[in-house]
Amino acid sequence: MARDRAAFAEFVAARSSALQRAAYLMVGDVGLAQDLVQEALTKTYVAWPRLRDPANAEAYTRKAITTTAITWFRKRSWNGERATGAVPDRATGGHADALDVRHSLMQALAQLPPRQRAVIVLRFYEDLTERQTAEVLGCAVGTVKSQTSAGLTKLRDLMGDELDIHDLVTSEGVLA
Amino acid sequence: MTEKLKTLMDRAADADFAALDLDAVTAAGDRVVRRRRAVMGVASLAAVAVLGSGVAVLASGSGDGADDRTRWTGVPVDGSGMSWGVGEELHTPVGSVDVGHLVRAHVRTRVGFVTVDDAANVWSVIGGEVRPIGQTQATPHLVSDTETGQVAWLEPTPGGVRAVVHDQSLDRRVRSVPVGKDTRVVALDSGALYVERDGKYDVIDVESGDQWQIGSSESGAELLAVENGALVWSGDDRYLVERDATAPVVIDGVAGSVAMLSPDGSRVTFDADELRVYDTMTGKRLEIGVDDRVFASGYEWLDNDRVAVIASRSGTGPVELLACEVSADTCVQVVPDLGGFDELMAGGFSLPVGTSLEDE
Repeated sequence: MARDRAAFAEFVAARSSALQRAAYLMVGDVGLAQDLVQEALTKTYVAWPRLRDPANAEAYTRKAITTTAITWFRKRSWNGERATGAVPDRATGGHADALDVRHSLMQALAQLPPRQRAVIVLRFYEDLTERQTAEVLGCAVGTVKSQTSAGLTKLRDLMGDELDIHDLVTSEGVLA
Repeated sequence: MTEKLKTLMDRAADADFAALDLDAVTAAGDRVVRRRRAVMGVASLAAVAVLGSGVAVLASGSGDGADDRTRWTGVPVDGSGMSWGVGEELHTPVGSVDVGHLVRAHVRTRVGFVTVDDAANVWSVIGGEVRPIGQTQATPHLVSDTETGQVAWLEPTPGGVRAVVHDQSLDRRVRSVPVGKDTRVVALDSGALYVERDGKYDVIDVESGDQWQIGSSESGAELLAVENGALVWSGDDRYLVERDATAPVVIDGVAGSVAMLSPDGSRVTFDADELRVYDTMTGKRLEIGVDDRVFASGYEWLDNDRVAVIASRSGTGPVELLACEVSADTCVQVVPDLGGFDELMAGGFSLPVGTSLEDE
């Protein structure tokens, strides 16, 4: 696959919205998510000739988004900043309850360590398998399992009854 | 109100995003490609000049490529031990060699170097001799023991994935063990290969083939590095250095996902964006000045006191390589300008960490 601008444009048109949404869940800020996707797509464009199969482009971009997001959050943490993110405005009446829960989720995600947050988004928003998630993060499947379990436990602790994760609990009562 | 996680994330992600600027993306990508080509061209013409201090630097060559100093002079056993790959060339402060394939990843052993090309072939490079020694996975990951000639990787075979240990000093494979596909090689130290299999850690004795399991005192911790009996584990928010029969030493406040232990295990550095070196017996940080560089990250130990550092005075480059002496709190610039970060990280540049920087 050459660095075919038309094919790349087609890929961006088809997938950028989905990639931006996933990036937003990872970083909790719309502007930051857009920067993240733009940076990841630049890397994808550079790597386009060696990606061979266009289907690889999405996996490559997702990996770039994830690893860059983790790096950004580690830098913030190490600089003493808290990743609060810009979450949806609270509303009154109408969809207030729904917005409150969304607000709670974004706040809870922001409190997870970066890798746990990435694992939760990849597994339960992107619907990646444990193996696919491990490939994105460059770790073993066992690490994905342990990070998933720890992340879900923290989310449950932070959100309480607002979040139903019973479907993610195995028959042995262990978190997914 | 109770909602499923998936439903909730679908709703939460429904934000308003501005349209992506495709022209800006492709223009930035084209700039990276042009700079990468430029830096590779410069590197192929680079000559190595030795300063009076005995430290070598890369300098622009005359372009004839015939300078004797650019020829391969073997592994710098008494030099800084530094190495880096650009395109098809492996460089050290005292020489360089055209290995004839793109160096996607490489590691150093006591004997020479082992590289992976863009077709996942594994090559042994000893002096001027370059020869294939195996095959690895699409995302390369080599681990080596710089105090011996041993290197290990995962090799896909028709019968399944195997963990392979090759000894460059013996010029042959010394161990090949079937492992599951969900396996990761972690470290190779003192004749033992450490692998992660489905979240559990096994040690494989290279000589006997005996295997046993190990674990951290902290549940779910990830093993990052092993040297001389010291194991570095990554917990959720901290690192642990564990040794037999001693309480874990805790290291807090570090950003980074890769740890590098000195050969004697007494010090550790991380791939954080500022140079962080810690005493593994106390967990205390050891300060090393890098002047006004805004980025500095240790990536390899040259001996028990000297750590190789990739650094820059700006967020974009030029990228430098330093050799920092911990006990003296000093750093020496070994390579002043490898180009900008964008072009280096976009491909064709390798440090002896066993993985491709493109995959990071």
